[in-house]
Amino acid sequence: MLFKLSRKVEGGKLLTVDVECDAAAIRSVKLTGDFFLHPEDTLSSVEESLRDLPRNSSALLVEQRITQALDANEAQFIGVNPRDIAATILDACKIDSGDSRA
Amino acid sequence: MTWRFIPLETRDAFTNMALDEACSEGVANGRVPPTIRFYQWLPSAVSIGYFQRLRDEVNLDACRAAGVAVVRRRTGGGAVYHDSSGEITYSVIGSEKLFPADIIASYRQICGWIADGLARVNLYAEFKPINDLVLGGKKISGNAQTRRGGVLLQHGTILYEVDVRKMFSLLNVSDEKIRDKMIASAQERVTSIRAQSAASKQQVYEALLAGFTSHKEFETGTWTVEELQRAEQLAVKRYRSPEWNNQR
Repeated sequence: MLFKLSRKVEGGKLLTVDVECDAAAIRSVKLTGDFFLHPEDTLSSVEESLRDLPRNSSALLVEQRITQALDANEAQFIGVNPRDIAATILDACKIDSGDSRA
Repeated sequence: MTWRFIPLETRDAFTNMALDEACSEGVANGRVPPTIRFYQWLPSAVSIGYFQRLRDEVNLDACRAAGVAVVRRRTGGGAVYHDSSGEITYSVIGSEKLFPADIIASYRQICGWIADGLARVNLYAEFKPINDLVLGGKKISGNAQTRRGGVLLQHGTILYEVDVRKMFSLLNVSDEKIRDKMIASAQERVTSIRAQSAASKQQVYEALLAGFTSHKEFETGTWTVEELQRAEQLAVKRYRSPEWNNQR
């Protein structure tokens, strides 16, 4: 199932997550928005790091995956942060199947 | 070290972005000096940030109907309407070593040149992190930066005159973005020089030029033949291509 959720990060930018998940796992994530990421081409590594994460992963685990992908590439987000991204992804997966389905 | 200053010119959206990239390559290869340029967009255009989804941000039908070009930038950030006569855009392109390593500090520095310029026409703008300048709390300038191959490119707009209704007819502004400021209409967040000053666009341009070049050694220059040829290639290969613009 596909879910989409947008969130304005406190004091920062707008983040939209498109999440494909099934009962067991988050299968894929796409991040879009008006944030910055330096270097820019790290985004695919960040998105890849979230592939096949168990659906019941803690927010902390999801955040750690993102942070590890950033650290491996000496990268940084500006305007969003790993914790907000993680929370938005997990919240997207909790959306009632009656609404916000992409 | 002498900066090259390229005076105000008007080009289409794809060429404007391609020149930024061609110049960045030239700087990286040591073939051209660090460069400051000012430019306008003809036809009017919408540019979106590198990470934005085109269809979320832009009303493509409205742009097509209005003859407004649409291009994805290499820099992150948001969607911007570049009115042909309503704004002045700048780019600063130079080695990363010329700027603070901290990205927000480098935004602050370059935005400080804009503020210096605006102060010369008695407009006192403040830097608002991450990447805005505000006048009386309303946004007058948005900026976006990328660092690639050791070269920093920052470009941004200074709003001279804005038709807010037209701007927001071309952009899809999400309610999410303004919700936390409890402002009913996105129109209240943006201002222009015309709304606050009798300065002409020429006066503003000359003031900005002074703000950007004071405390610097600079020479007024032109694009090299190599840059222009490379920009033509990049405009076709990248900025005009559906693959590039539709990639997210």
